[in-house]
Amino acid sequence: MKSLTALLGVLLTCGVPAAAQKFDLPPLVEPGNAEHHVGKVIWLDLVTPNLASAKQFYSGLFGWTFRDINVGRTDYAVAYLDGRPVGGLLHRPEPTGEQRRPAWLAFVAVRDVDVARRTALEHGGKVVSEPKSYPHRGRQAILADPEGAVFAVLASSSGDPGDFLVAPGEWIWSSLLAEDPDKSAAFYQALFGYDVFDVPSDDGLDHVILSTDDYARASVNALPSHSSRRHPHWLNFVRVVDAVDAAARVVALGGRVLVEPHVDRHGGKLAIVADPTGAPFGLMEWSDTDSRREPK
Amino acid sequence: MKIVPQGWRVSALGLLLLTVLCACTVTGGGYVGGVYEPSGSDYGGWGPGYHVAPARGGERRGERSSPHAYRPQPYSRPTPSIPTRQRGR
Repeated sequence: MKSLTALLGVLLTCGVPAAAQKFDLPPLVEPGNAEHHVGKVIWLDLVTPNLASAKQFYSGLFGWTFRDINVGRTDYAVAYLDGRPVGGLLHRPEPTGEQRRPAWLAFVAVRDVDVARRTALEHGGKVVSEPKSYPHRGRQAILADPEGAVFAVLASSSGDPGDFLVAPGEWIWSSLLAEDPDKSAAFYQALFGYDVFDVPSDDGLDHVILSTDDYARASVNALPSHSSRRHPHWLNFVRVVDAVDAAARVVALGGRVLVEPHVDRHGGKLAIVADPTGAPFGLMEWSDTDSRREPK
Repeated sequence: MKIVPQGWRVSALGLLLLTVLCACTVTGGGYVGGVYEPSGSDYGGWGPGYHVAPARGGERRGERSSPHAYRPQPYSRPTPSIPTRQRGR
């Protein structure tokens, strides 16, 4: 009996403080609002085997600052730009024996995560991580589309970020690279209710724009035909003032340029780069005067 | 006569122990976010005409007759762009 009491004492001393710790993610929007923009990418998480290196790289490239959250075996850092949370960095050891790379995971706004999960399954998607709720943040789950491209859905409890032009250093755009853009667009249309616009291209491949609230939210593009290795995936872009200069800084900070800066559909330059651990992302120029028409 | 109270006490302590362990598991559990992806893309085929960016807005689209798996927007509707309003205005 004495030994049982002693064991309980140890558990109460060590266990209760651990139990009192919470995975305290910041709300997406402060102060909260009632805005909801289903289909908009509202958060991004990087999974990385080297959190310190990633923080150093993204801080040097975009001026992000970080707040650490360490609970149990989970090490996570929330990235901020000018006081606004812009993404998260999650430390997780690289899987052994598998050909895997670190990646940025896009979270798409939904009203109800469980409904989105069910709809995805009905249309050929898969569940990668079951829905889970977090105080202040909301409820989220990780899914995969029928081709295997991984994305997340998030029902933010503080509302969704407003539809404003983001600042340089913030996420501005997301593109899905797919084997069959037509079928992929149909899947995401069923899931998020997108308006789908097919757009002309010079390369003969299928490209479409996904839109809600009369704003473009993402593009779906056929995987380049000359790629030697093809795996459908989402690619996310950070707004930069000068893509050439930003790509040079990526290299100086230990990253790599995967696609050299070049002019894209909007008339500005974009580049595809990878951070020092190999996580790919895009750099996209967007000047304040780049839009010809402000959608209503 | 002391067997019953002792048994009750052991059960109560056991229940408390279980509660503490459950609390540790729930609140300190892993975060759902971040996934390692298959390393299967080299971006080697991005030619000059390969465009992934949003349109600037207002572009008219040429009509194409091919059927789609998705419900397309009518060609009379211009392609939308990203939000361009400035914060705080």
